[in-house]
Amino acid sequence: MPQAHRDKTFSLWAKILYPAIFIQLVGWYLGLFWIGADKDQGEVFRIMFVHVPVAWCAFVWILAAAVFAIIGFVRKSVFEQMDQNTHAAIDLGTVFGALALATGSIWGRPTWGVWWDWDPRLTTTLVMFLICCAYHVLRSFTPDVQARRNAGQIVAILAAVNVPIVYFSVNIWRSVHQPQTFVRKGGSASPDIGLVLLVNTLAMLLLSFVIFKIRRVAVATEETLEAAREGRNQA
Amino acid sequence: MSTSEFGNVSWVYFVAGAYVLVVVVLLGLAVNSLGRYRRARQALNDEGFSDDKS
Repeated sequence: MPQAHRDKTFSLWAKILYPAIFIQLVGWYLGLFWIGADKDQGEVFRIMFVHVPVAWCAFVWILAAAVFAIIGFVRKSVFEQMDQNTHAAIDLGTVFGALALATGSIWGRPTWGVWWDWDPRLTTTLVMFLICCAYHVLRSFTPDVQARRNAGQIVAILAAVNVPIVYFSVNIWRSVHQPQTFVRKGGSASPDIGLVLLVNTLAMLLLSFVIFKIRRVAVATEETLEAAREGRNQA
Repeated sequence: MSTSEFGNVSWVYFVAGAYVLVVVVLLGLAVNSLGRYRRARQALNDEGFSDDKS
């Protein structure tokens, strides 16, 4: 992709970033001030409106990274572009995974009485986050570009394998973490809570998509610079 | 500000902590992404590489 095209893409998504932030702020306003307190957890349940969306974003971006990696392996003509997509997606997956762990820990302290428990949901999420970290470590320590890309793609697929394990861990094993409230039959949450959660999840997904597009252009531009420097050094 | 059953710590601190953390980290991610692009773009210009190298 020519750099001029990337510049245009960057300008477009940098502009969309502001409305995306605004939509997210509206979602947080609804979660913090519009909706009433939960009858069991009281006010502290409002953490749900950041915790659940960031956890979903982590799932989505790690799965997306694996899809990009698989497309790259299948269609060699787009391998480089797919590697850049994977790189940007795993960046987001790592950050959202860390946020899911941190906000979950903050929510766990008042509801469970502890910051951390070696519960199946928490432990599998930690493993997912650590695999994302491994992706970055592997890329940083592999100087050969092709080897770096191959190894990165494989680790991205490995991270995605863990996503369904994280999601279904509350059903498979006995867990202190609550099961899926809105998906399972007989869930007790009110429709208002479901609506606000949906708004916040969609807003966070939109915001993360805009950041992904910006980051994707940044990764591609950095690789262009790296390749240009290598070409100059070899000449 | 009401206190609750979480010792003497109000729920406000937990909720505010979670939201502030997410705001700071996402803002950092966005700024970092914008900055990485601008630095790489600037270096491409400064080092005289053609715009259509890729």
